[in-house]
Parts: sequence; structure tokens; C-alpha cells
Amino acid sequence: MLMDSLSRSIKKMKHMDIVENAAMDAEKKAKNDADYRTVVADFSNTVNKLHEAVATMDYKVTSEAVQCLEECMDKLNKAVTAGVVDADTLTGARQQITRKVNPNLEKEWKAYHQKKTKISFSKLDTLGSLAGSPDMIASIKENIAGGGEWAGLTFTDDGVHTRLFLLKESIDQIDELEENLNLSDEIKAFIVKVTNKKAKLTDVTPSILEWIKRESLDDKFVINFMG
Amino acid sequence: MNIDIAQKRYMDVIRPDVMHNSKGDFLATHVPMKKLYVTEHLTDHAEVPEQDKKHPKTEEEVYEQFMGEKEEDQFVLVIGDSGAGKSHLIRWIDSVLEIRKAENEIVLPIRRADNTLKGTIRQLIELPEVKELPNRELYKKLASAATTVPERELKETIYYQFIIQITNDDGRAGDEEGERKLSNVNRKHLIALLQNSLFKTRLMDDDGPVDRIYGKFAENKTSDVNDKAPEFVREDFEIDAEFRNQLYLGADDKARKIADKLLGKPEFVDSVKEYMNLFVDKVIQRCAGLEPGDLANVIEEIRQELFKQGKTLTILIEDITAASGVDDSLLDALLTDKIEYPDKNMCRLNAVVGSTDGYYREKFRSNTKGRIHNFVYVPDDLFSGNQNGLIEFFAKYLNTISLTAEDVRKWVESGKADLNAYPIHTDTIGKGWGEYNYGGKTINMFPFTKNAILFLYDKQDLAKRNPRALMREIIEPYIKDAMDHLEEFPLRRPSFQASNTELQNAIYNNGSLDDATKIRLSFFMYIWGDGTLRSFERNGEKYIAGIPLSVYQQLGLPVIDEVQVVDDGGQTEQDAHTEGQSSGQNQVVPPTEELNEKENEQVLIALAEVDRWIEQKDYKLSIGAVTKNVRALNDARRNINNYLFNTIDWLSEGVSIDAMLKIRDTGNKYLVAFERQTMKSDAVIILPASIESRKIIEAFVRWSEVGKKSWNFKGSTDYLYRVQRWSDRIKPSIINAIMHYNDKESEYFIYAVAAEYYRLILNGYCKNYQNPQNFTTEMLLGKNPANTDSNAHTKRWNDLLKIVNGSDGMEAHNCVLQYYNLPQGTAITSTNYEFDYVSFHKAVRKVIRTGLHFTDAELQLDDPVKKRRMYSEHLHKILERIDTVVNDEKAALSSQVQIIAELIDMDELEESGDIEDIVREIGQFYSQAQTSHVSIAVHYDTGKINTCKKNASQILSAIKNAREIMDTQDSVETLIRLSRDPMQGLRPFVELLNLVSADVGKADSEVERRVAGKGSDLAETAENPFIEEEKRLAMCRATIEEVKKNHVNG
Repeated sequence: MLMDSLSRSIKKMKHMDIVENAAMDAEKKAKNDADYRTVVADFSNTVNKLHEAVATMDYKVTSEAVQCLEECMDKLNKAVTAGVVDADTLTGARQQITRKVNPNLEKEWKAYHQKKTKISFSKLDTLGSLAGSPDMIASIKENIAGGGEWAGLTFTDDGVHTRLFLLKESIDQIDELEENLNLSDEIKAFIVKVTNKKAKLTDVTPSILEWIKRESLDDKFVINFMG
Repeated sequence: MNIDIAQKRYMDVIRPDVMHNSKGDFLATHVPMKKLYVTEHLTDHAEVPEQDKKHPKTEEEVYEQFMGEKEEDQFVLVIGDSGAGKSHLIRWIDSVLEIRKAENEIVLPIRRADNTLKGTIRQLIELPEVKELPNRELYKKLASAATTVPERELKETIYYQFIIQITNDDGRAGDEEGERKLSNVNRKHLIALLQNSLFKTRLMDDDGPVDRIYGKFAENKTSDVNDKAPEFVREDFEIDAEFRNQLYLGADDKARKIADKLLGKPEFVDSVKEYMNLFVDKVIQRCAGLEPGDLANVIEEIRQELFKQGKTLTILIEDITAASGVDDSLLDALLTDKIEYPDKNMCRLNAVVGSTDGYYREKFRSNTKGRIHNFVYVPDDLFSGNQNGLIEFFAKYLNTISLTAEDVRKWVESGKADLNAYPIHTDTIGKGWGEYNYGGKTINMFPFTKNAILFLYDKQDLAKRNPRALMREIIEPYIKDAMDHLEEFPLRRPSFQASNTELQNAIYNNGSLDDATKIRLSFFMYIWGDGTLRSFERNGEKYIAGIPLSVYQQLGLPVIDEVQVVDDGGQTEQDAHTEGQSSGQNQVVPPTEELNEKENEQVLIALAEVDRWIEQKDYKLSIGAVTKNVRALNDARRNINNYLFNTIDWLSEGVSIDAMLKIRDTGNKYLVAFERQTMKSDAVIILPASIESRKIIEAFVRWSEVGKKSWNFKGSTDYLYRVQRWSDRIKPSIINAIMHYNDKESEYFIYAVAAEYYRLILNGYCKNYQNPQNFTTEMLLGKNPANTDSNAHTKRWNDLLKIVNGSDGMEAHNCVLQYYNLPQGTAITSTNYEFDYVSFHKAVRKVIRTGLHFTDAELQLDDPVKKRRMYSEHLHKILERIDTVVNDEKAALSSQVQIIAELIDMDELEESGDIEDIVREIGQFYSQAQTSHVSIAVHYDTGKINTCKKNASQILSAIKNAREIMDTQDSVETLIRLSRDPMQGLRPFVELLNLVSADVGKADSEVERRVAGKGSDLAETAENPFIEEEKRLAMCRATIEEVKKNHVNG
């Protein structure tokens, strides 16, 4: 019927526009294709990264971030019709990625990293001199800091391990150090105080003294005047 | 009259021919001629100069002047019209000469006889003086010329003589000094034409030129006097295209050429005719075997012989045309004065020659004319101013026919034709009729009276008052009628105007007489009698209208009541011989009865015409658009009709004014017309030719002419009473005729209403109706002007629309409004409508119930009144076109709907929004085409699209209407639906659909082509360049799904 014929024809004309527009610039097409591939690759990387983060660190994102991702993916799907990339759609998708997806993910990761690594850092500050060598401590700190940027999460500085992995490892190392110190709650509380520079002589209990001697941490502590 | 003798003798006396040429009869009927004009010179027109007319002479005086004892030669030309009495005068001179001539006078009378040359020559050779001529050769020539030759042979001879003469001529026709009358070329062509058999047959035809020449030369085949010149006339050579074409078929080239010249060129025709006439004399001479001078030689030789004998000669030639062919030389011989040729020794010659003035004018040569110095002119109106002579003329003829030839001969021979011994016949019938006193004796004038003679003479045209015409046209026929049909006499009744209508009224009002008798009696008493009712007694016999009772009895005529008066002694006509009476010229005595007032001339003329109409059973009344109509009768007919139209109270008789007007305003349709009119007219009542009708006609003639269109005239009460009674009597017939024909009631109003409804339908005033049965009467009452807006109907529809909006349609519309409109005041058709609504409504409902369907038989197409019939004819015209129009419209509509159905699912069209959607999509299509630079974008017409969008509801309605129309069977219902003009609604939409459906195909083709040209296929390619990416994106989706499941905050 006519109506069907009309809509098909309209569609064909539109497609033709695209074809003609695209065909008019072969370079542009190639560029568009390349761009598309790039964008898809980037997007794919981002999603993979997220997957990695989720899988590695049990990371959780907001529904907002997910929605952004989904929208972007729709755009990416629509950007190609019959093997031809719609530059505008692609641009839209790209913009979506750069203006929304990535910033959202970065922001959220940053918040998560901060939150996640704050305790670890404090532990490390507290225990680091007790547990390990300064180099080790510095490396751990470095790894943790390196994992703070979403963008570089999957970079392998050493060519082997991603920053995300190193982050995870570092956090785990710190927890291990803590465990290795056999710290009772009393001692943990004391270390915290010490770390927070709030420990008093009165807090030094015989058990704590004992722990210090046992762990040969005598010269790891100093006494300071308050204030 | 002595009827036994008269029956045998009258033709011989009245029409003498060669055999019965009795001198006695001549003398017995001769009336002295008293009005002859003598002159020495005629005017150029062969007329007597006025001053010579002042002194007319009698025959005696003429005789004395020319036939007295004289030594010199005399030539007298007796001239006058045909029938005036020229040869009569010459015969009289001959008869007087016989008695009074000197001893040594020889008289040679050449009688007219049969008026031919041969006849003339025969007379000559019978004369003893010619028989004894020493020149025997001459005599033999004459004898030979006089022999009878078979008609056919002689005519052929005449014809071929012409050809011979012309062949041997050089175009001058013997006139050596003169010019060529005809060019050589034309002359040769003329010969060829004359030799052509078709043309020869034409000239040899009866009454053709050869026949005329033959009739003059050899034998007069009619009993009529033929004193015309034998010659060619223009008509002989006038040919028409048809004759020319026939001639062409077998004619010689030369004949054709001259035929072409003769066609439509009167000057050339005349020149040929005149040329041919120049040979007539020669041809006659050749055929007679005479030389031109032969007759002249005869005369000369006779004179010489007589001179030797000491005698003198008088030659009397009654008619010079009897010597046609040789008349020139004969005249020349008669005009030869002996004084000029003393050596020839010729005797004295008196010549008296008769000729018509026409012949003198045209045929006498000018030098001949110049030699004639004595003319005696015989006028036509010999009897004008001579009443007594006229009566005497009649009396003598009437007397002579009742005398035996023997009695007459005796009177001439032994009585020497002494007038004192003039014989009077013994009458066996006709006592009491007119009498003429001749020499103390009374001649019975049956079947005439003095009044009748004077009347009939006056009735003759001026040119027909000569003696011959009077004999032929009055004496002979009336005598015959009286002898054969006395019981119906007079049969011939020329019209007359009754100056005194008292007599006529008395006769016509007499109820005991039938019309035929009334007419005959009226005529007889007016013409034969004195036209009055007066009666007196004379010699013991009663006279009425001056006619004795016995005459009425002889004729079987009744006598009516008369008015007694004293006998005034009567006036028997007397001749001039009776002593103590007045001399020759009698004055006309005016009628003694008093006329109360001069009767209106128009009334008299009209009544005379009516009387003629009644009396003569085959006479047609001059009525209508003919030049000779009698105005007063024409008016009378019109006034009778107007009277009836105006005085009948139509409405109270149940006749619509409109219906009455249809009859009144139909040209040539009358309520009353007359029987036997010259122009037949269609009428309800035909007035028969009767006295009764005459009274009615007379009433209206008087109303118009005397009363000046009023009944204010003497005696009008009686006329009006008659008219009213008559009109009451005929009124039922008239009413019936107005409303009916052929026993059917006229129903033209019905047809007008139906036609008007059809007009309303076609003009779109019935759009809101489904069915004509739902029509109302009020619909008809509006102005409902013709709809001139453009429409989308078929040509047939619009043609029918033109018809219903045309003049006939308007007539029907007006009829509908006027038929039941009661006239306001004096206006017959008023534009203020005051309706007899009840009747109107009833009649219209009748039409509505028919559903506007009528068969031919129901249409009264045979109504004889055109003004009524026009409605049924108009309706018929509409009806016979309806089916065709409906079918045409349906077909057109169907094709439109078909287009829509092929493109759109019609069942999905429920509301106007559906139409709008379609139109919108079309708009988008074109808009996209524009964007994509597809060629069909030029068809993008936002106006059209917007219009369709705006009119979506009309379009939908039109589609629905169209579908309903396809399913409707009744033609009128279909017509009503069609009048909504669904095509108009559909058309823009259909056009748009058509356009776009074609454009879609074109657009698709172009797009395909262009895309293919870019190396890209619209269909999916076998290789997808982004398979990898698709996979990646699919994995991304799966990952995101997983994250969504377990790793989403809030």
C-alpha cells in the first residue's frame, strides 16, 4: 500500500543521503570507520576495565554510570547502518563517552579509591615502619597511588601487572603485614593511636611492651611531648 | 330569348370563326361607334394627342371623312388595343361601302379570318381581280404560298430557314449600312446552338417561338384572335444552370460556349433575341416562297389593271399582323401614292388597315410611320359615358342569337339591313326581364337587366371593357348559365358591397330560408334588381326590387316581405332612335332610395368578402398573413378571440390563467377561426361559412369599425345579444379544449414541476436528500438560480445542466410559479405571488409520488398545443438523458475510487484523521525528496498538500458518498447523491495520490541508481566491516548486564 511504499522510500532516500554523503569523502569514510573502531575499542576498553575492577576489587558503580554506558552503547550500535558509519552518531557516542561515561567512571573510581585506600594508607603509616622496609613501604604506597586514576588502571607500568592489580596487591600486602604482626586488638588500638599521634604512655601496657619486645620493635617507637 | 334558336346560334354569333362569318350577324349586332378619335399624328407612345381626344367622332363621321368621293389616295390606320373594335369598324366600313360605294369602286376586304399569312393570301387569290391577273406567274406564286403544308414539316422548314439565314448572314442581318448585330464568333456559336437537338426541341416546343411563327404564318390553332407579332422573346433564349448542364452532355464546343454566355446575362440574351427577330420576315417569306415585294406587286398590278378599266380601289385589311412576314412591303405598296409614280398608271387607292398600337409601335418601320397621316383610334372604353350604347350592345347580341340565320340573311338581302326593319326575336322564355326599346320595338334582355349589365360592366377591369371582352366574359357565360342552369341562376356571383343593408338583413334574418337560397336571392335582388325591399304594382303585376314577381318564379326564388311604395313608372332603357328621348349620352342616374347614412366602407368590404365566402363553396377567406387579406376581417377574427379570452371567467370555470395563456399566446392557435381560410389556423371552434357566422362576424366588424372598439353604435344591442348567446353556447367547448385534448386532461403543470425538480437536483439544491419521495413543495418556491460554480462533473452532466438551466428550463420554472398564482388586479402574470396553495400542494405531491419517473406514454408528447407540449418535451429530453448521465458519472467516479482503492486500504479510512495521516506522509516523502535532491521533488506542492489536509473531512465524505453511489440502483436517487459532486471532493486527493504513487516508483529507481553508482548496495553486503566491533559491543553489553546484576550501588 502507498503508506508502506512511502515510508520505505523515505528510508531509502535517507540512506542514500548518507551513502552519498559518505561516499563523497572516502577519506572521511575511512576516518569515520577508524574513528568508529577506535571509539568502540575505547569503549570496549572502558567496559573491560570496569569488568576488571568489578572482578578484581568487587568494585560497584552507580546505576547512573551504568545507564550512561548503556546509552553510549546504543549510540555505538546505531552509528553503523549497513556498514556505514554515521559520523554524527559516532560523534555523539564519542561525546557521551568523553563527557559522561569516562568522567562518571573516573569520579566514582576516585571516590572508591580514596575510600578504599584510606584505611590501607593509615595502616601502612602505622605499621609500615614496623613491618617492612622503607622501600617496600614506599612501593606499596606507590602502587596504591598508581591505582587511583581510572584512566590508567589497566596500564602495565612494569609490563606485566596492571595498576589495578598492583593496587589490589598492595592493599592485600598491607593487610598481610598487619596479620603478620599478630596484633591483638589492644595492640591494634595502640598502633592506631600511635599512628594518630595520640598514644600516651599510659597506653603502653605490659602486653604492649611485651609485643614490642617480642617483635623487636623497640627502636621503632619514640616518645614525644604532647602538643 | 328564344331558347331553342339561341342554343344553336349563340356561339356562332358571339364567336364567329372562319366558317360562320356572317355579314348579317355582323349587321344585326352592330352598335354604332360614337367615340372614335381621329388624328394626323400619334405621340411617340402611339397615343392620340390630348387635343384630338376632345373631339371624338362617330363612325359615320369617320366614313364621310375618308370614304367620301375623293381623287387622292388615302391611307387610314385604324389603331387600338386588342379587342377594342378595330376590325369591327373596318367591317362596318366594308358593309357600308357595299351599299354606298360608287359603281366603279372595287372593294377588296382582307378579313382577319384565321389571322395567318396563308389565310390572308388565300383570300387574296379568291378575289376575282386577283384571279384575273395577267401575271400568271405571280398568281401561281401566291397560290403556292397559300397551300396547306403538314404542320410538322412546315415547322421544321421554318426552323432550318432560320439556320440557313443566319449561316449566310454576316452579322448585320441584311442591314448593309448598320453595325454588326452579333459578332462573327457569336453568330457561329449561335448556329451550333441552334443545331443542337436539345435546344432545337426547346424552341420547337408548343407555345415556343416556332409554334408562334407557325401560328401566324400558317394556321391559328386556337379559337382566340391572335393579333400579336410572331417573334422570339427573351424567355426563348434565357437558360438556367440545369439546362446548360444538360446541354453540356452532348453539345458541340461552340454551343457550350454560347450557352455559358447566355446563362445569367440578360443583355446578351436580348441581343441574340433581337438578332433572331431580324430574320422572321425573311424566313416567313422563304417558307411561303414569296419575295418581299410579291404582295406589293399584286397590289400594284391590280391598280394598274383597274386604272385601265377606269376603276378605283379600296382595300380594307382588318389586321395587318395577318400579313406577318410580308407586311412591310404590303404597307409600302398601300402607301404608294399614285401621284409619285405617274408613269405606272395606277388607280386611286383607299386603304384602311387595322393594327394594334403595340404592333404599330414595335414593328412598323420609322419611315413607314412617317408616311402615315391618318389615324383612327378606337379606344378600349367605347362604352364609357355611353350607358345606352352599352345596353344596346347587349340587347342586339341577345336579340341576334335568338334569330335564325335565315331571318338575318333575309333582313340583309331583301331588307337591305334597314334598321327600321330590324328583326326582333320572339321570346319563349325570359318574360319580365330587362327590355330595350329599339326603334319602337322592345328587345327582351333575358338573362340580363339594365342593373345587371351596368353592375357587371363596372366590375370589369378597365382593360376588359372592350366589346370583345364583354362578349367573352359577360354575355357568353351568363347566357350559357341561364340556358343550362336557370334554377341556379345566377351561378357566377362577383362580390359586391351592399350599399343598403336593409334588404340583406331582411333576407338573412329570414329563418325559413336556407343559406344558399338567401345568398342567391340577395345577389339577384341587388345586382339584377335595385337592391331595395320596395315593391309596387304595374300592369297588374307585383314588382319587388324592380323585378316582376314572375321572374322570381322563373328562377324558383322565394319572395320576402317588402315595403309597399308607389310605382314610379319604371325606366325601360331606350335607344337613341326613339324620338323625344335624350341624345346618345345618358347620365348615370343616382339611386333614388335614400341612404340613411353612408355605410362604413370597411364594413362593406368585409361583408362583401364574407358573402363571397358563403356563396362560393370553394372560396377561401383572405385571412392571416397574406398580402390580400381583408383587414377588417383579420381584425374581426382577432377581436372575436380577444372578446372570448377577456369575457370568460376562467378561474371560476376551473381553468388556470396560465393554461388559458398557453392557448392565447400560441401563434396561429385560436379559440375561433373561420372555415376555409387562405392561411389555415388551428382553432377550437371553426365558424362555418353560414349566415349565422356572418352575423357574429358582422357584430365584431361593426364593433371595431363603427363603434371604434366599443358597442356604442346603432343596433349594437341586438349584435351584442347575439354574440353573448353564441359565446355562451360555445363556452363549454372552449373550456374543454383549453384543459383537454384528445379526451385527455392536459397535465403540463406536472411535467413542469418534474422538470423543475430535476433542475434543482442538477444544480445541487437537493444535496441533503436521499430520495425524491422526500422532496417538499416548498423547495419549488425559492428563486433557485442556476448554479454557475465550476464543478467536477462529466461533460454529459454539464450538458444536461445547460439544458435544464436553458430557456425551456426557465419556462418550466416560471410555469410552476405562475400556474396556481392568482392574478393580482389586472395583471395577468404578476410577480406578487398569491398562491392557491392547496391546489398547488396537491398537484406537486402528485409529482413527488411518482419519484420523478415518467414513461413516454405518460408524457403527453402528442399535445397539439405547442406551448403546453414544450414542458413534456423538455422533461422528455431530460429523462432520456438521465441514465446516460448517471452511468457516465458512475464510471468516472468509479475510476477515481479505483485509483484510491489501489493505493489505500479503504476500510482503514474511518475518520478525517486517517486522510490527514496519508497526506502528511506524502508531505514527508516530498520533503525528504527535496532534501535528498531527488528529481520528483519538483512535484512538491505544499498548497495541494495543505488543501487536502484541510479538506480531509470533505474527502472522506466524498469517498463514502462515492461508495454509496456505486451501490444505488435508482437513477434519481443516484442523481441526488451525485449532485453533491463527490468528484470535486475526491479530485485533488486522487490527483495527489496518482502523482505520488508514480513518484514513489521514480524516486526509488533514482535512489537505487544513485546508490549503486556510489559502489554501495542498499541491501546488506556479504562482508560486514565491523564484525569485530559488533562482537566487542556484544561483549560489552554482556559485561554491563553482569555489572548491573551484581555491582550497582542503589
